[in-house]
Amino acid sequence: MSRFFAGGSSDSETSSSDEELYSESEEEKSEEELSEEESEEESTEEDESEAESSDEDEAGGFLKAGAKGSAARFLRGEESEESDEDESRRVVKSAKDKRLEEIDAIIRTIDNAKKINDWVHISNEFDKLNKIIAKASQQGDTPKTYIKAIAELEDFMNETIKTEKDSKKKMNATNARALNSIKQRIKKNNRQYEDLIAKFRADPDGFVNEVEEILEPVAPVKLRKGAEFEAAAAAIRPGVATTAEDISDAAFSTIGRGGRTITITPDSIFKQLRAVLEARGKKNTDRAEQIRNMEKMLDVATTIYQKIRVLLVLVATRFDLTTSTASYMPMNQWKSAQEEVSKLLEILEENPLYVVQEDAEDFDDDDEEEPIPKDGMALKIFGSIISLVERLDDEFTRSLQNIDPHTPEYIDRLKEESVLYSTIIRSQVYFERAQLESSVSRVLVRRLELLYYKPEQLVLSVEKLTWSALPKSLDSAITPRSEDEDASRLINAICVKLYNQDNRLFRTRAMLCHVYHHALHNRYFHARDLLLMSHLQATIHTADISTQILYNRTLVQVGLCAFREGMISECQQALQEICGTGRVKELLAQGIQMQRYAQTSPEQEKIERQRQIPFHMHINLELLECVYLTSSMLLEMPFMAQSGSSPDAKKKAISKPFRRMLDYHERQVFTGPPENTRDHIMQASKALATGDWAKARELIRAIKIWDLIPDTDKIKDMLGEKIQDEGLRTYLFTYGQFYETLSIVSLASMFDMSEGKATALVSKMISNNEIAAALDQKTNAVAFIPGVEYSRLQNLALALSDKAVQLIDSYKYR
Amino acid sequence: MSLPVTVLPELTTPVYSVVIDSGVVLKLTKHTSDAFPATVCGLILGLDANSVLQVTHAFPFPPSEGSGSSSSNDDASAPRSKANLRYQTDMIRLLKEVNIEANPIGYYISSYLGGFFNQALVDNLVAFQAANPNSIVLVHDVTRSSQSSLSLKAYRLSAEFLATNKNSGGKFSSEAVVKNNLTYLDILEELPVSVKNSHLATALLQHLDSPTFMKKGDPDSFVSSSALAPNFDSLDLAIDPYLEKNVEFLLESVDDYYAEQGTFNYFQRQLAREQSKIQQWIQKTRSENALRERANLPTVSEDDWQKHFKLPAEPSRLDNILISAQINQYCNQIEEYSSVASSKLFAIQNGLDIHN
Repeated sequence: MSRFFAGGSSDSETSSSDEELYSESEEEKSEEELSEEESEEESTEEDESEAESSDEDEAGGFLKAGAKGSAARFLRGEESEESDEDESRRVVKSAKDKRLEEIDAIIRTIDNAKKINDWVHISNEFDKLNKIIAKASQQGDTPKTYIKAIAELEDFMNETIKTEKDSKKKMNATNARALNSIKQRIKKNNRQYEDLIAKFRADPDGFVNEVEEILEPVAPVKLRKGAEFEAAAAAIRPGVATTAEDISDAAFSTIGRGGRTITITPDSIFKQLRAVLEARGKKNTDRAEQIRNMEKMLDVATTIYQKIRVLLVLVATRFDLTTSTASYMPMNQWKSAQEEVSKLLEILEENPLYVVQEDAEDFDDDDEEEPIPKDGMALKIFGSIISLVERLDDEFTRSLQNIDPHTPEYIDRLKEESVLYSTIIRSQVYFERAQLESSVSRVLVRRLELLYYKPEQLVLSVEKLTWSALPKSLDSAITPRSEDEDASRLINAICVKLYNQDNRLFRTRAMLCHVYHHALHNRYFHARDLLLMSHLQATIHTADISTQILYNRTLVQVGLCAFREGMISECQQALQEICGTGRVKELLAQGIQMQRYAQTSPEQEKIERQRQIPFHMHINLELLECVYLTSSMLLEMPFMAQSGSSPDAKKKAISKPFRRMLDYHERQVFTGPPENTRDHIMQASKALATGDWAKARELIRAIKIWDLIPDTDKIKDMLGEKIQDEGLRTYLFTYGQFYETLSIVSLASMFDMSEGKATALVSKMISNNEIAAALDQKTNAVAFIPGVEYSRLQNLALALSDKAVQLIDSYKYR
Repeated sequence: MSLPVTVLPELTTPVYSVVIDSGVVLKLTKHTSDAFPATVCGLILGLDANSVLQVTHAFPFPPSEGSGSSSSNDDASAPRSKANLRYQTDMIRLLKEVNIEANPIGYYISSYLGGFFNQALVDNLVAFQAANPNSIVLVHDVTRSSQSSLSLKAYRLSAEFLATNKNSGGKFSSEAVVKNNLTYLDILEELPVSVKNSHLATALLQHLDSPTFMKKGDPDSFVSSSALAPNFDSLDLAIDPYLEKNVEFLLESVDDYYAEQGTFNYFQRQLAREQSKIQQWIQKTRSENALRERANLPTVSEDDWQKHFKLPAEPSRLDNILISAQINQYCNQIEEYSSVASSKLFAIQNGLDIHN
């Protein structure tokens, strides 16, 4: 819509064509609004006026009439209503004509159907008619012909029912059913037009003729229009019969809908702004119209105060455009909103004596005098820039959630992140200067959440780009601009600032982002220590869901970090909680998982959709699974070999999902060559179990997804080494009992490792009491000590004693 | 799972011991050992006289059709299966024709390490004891027999059990169990068993045992030829396998017990929930009734809750009792066996000490 507000509409030709274009888009919008009514509405931004209008919502379909009836304050009386009608008629001339023709056609078919008593037909046509009328009434009026038609239809219906009762012959079944259903609908429908129908009934001829008369003045008004714009300041077209001066408190002050131009003067700005604010959240407010008016106001506004005020309202109104949760803000709107926020910030930067803050008192705009900062005291203006910035960010995220990530659109949209980021930084600088502490932390959280998942280079380039776009004079105390910026130092600075403020949620989120950042850059111990020091794991289940998601993401990232650093068991532990559940997608908010038995209501699903993380922030799930399974394999295979046939070997699994998959794999009769990641890992596991480490290594190395990890070769080498180690351990556990002695040399050659390493591994196993053996230094061999292992009977007895204790416990504590 | 409720005929002469003909024992052991590890069963015939139940004849039931895949439970319920009943009547008719006592007095089953406490056993015994209160079941434990001497036990259902079954209509509610003092220890009562040889058989044994029968001079032939000579089997020291199996089964039973406990706990929770609901309903009705009385309207009876709520059915306690009995059985077996085994071990220890 940006192309509309450029024109200062002095030319009637362009303006009317603009309006025509506009009327179309408005039409679309009204359809949107209709769908909104059906969908459940989120009322976060809506103020009390929403509640006011909610009773109108309940009245259903045709809001225009309802609103006119109920909101007495806005009732202009007969005269103004008519004029309103003719104006809108003029605006949407062509579309409206078409629609009127359609309505007429339908009414004619209904009349025809009436003649043959075909109620099925009537019912269908009636539905069609209502649909069109719904659109038309969104445009502002209900055609008189329609009123006439429905009034007649009702009469006819009543008559039919009466004759039906008397006559002995029954109507055929479908027809009767159609009659019954239409009876209900007509009653419901006509209730909305009660007034008009009554009027029609009172004077059928006059009522219809009135329509004709109204159509008359259209032409002259149209002619007058061009001159209108240049008309003198306060004078508003006499035809409307209301002027700006006339608008006293109780009088009518909404901005005209349709093409009614209101000439804006600096003086009337505040009044109109207030009108906008009053109309905010109401169902029938034409927000697009308001926006255009305000854009004009902005051009007209002379003083800084005025500009600030207009901008504040304008951006807020832009956000009101999309109230439905399902869709996102149109890009151009978002863009203009962003530009306006920047503009606002620019104004505020230039004029340090004006401060916008949330706890300022609202000025009474009826005062003739406009407030100006006095004697160096800053003038406080009521408003909240931070909420605008936050909303900007939210809308950005929402649009990313809704755009298909595999299209160029998504990338285009993503490019705008830098603009958003610069707005955020700019507002941060402003808040710092204005010393709005709470806003500073809020904006820092937003900033951090745009940064934490990015690798170092990306953070640096974003930073550089942003700062270079901002005026040189701006700088932040918390995150100063510097040439040799270090991403970690930046994140650290932001987080430290956030740790020192009061809001617990922000502290938590900052902590998680910090940990995530550390983990992303392979600083495992930093990340782990920070995460453990925060004691978040104890309280995270009480946090809100988006924080829980962030926690899950962080945990997963810490796990991946441990893996990259070669710390397999740490990795497995970290990932266990998330990957072991089988609800990875849900826990990371990366797509909605269809659960077979769970019934999710549409509302729940919608809420879930809102929580989704945009695609570019996703953690690759396949890689995650691969890492989890590989580390599970490395831990599980020696463990399984060790526990052997003990009675509760099945129950003490390290990783249940891995065990399940392995079982499934073993049950297969034929196993072909590995196809996917899982196959690779399962076959590698089997190879490892039999001591065939070389095959296991080949299989693991062949997994393609490793390429997603930076330093792929390093990872693969690390895995190869781990496989050798665990292979040796597994071998000793499985076959140790069949050896009396085993030479270290042959063991080392068997697993292609140095003797020293083999000795170290064996020593470690001996010292951990994992195998009953000793190292014979003289012959350089492992000597197995027979009979140290528990016999089967002993194992069983131990298991039994465990069971008995459990049984006693269950009795004691009941 | 409800058991048929039967009216027991008056016990005229209750029996206190069982005497089994040696021929029956041989037949029975042969049948059960041959079929091992499948559990099999057969009918025993005989008569009760002077508080002694004499078992004089037995015949096996043919393996159930399509056997092999059939589980042990199917075999255990065999005595009352249709095919077997027909077989049984045929057999009895034929036996009568050759003038053999053909009075069924129970049945025998083989068991594996004493794991015979199950629903089927109880069902069968209830049926048999309904027909003849002196009916018994002979349990031949093949594994235990192979470990030591013959393990042949005679059981019948206790009076307490039968009374509980009768009172609770086969439901075994906690109430009935408590009222009849039924514990897992007295589901079955054991009858002393003695084996009786015919005179001819005794004479043969005497003859076999007499040294005149043995060849002189050859000690090897002495051992091999004399089936009745003492052997060293009972000194076998392979203790583990038997105990292992026992403990394994014991573990299984404990798991079953857990499961059973779980279902009962679930029932209790469910019951508590329902009861609190009913309590609420009664409260509500009471207050409503007060209002109704004032308005001179008919009141709703407080006992009407039955119309609105349905209490969950109590699960049968029989399983619980049977599992407990089974656990008890395993424990006894282990105890029995280990007392013998430890004495053996001590003996050997001493022997070794002396040797050293």
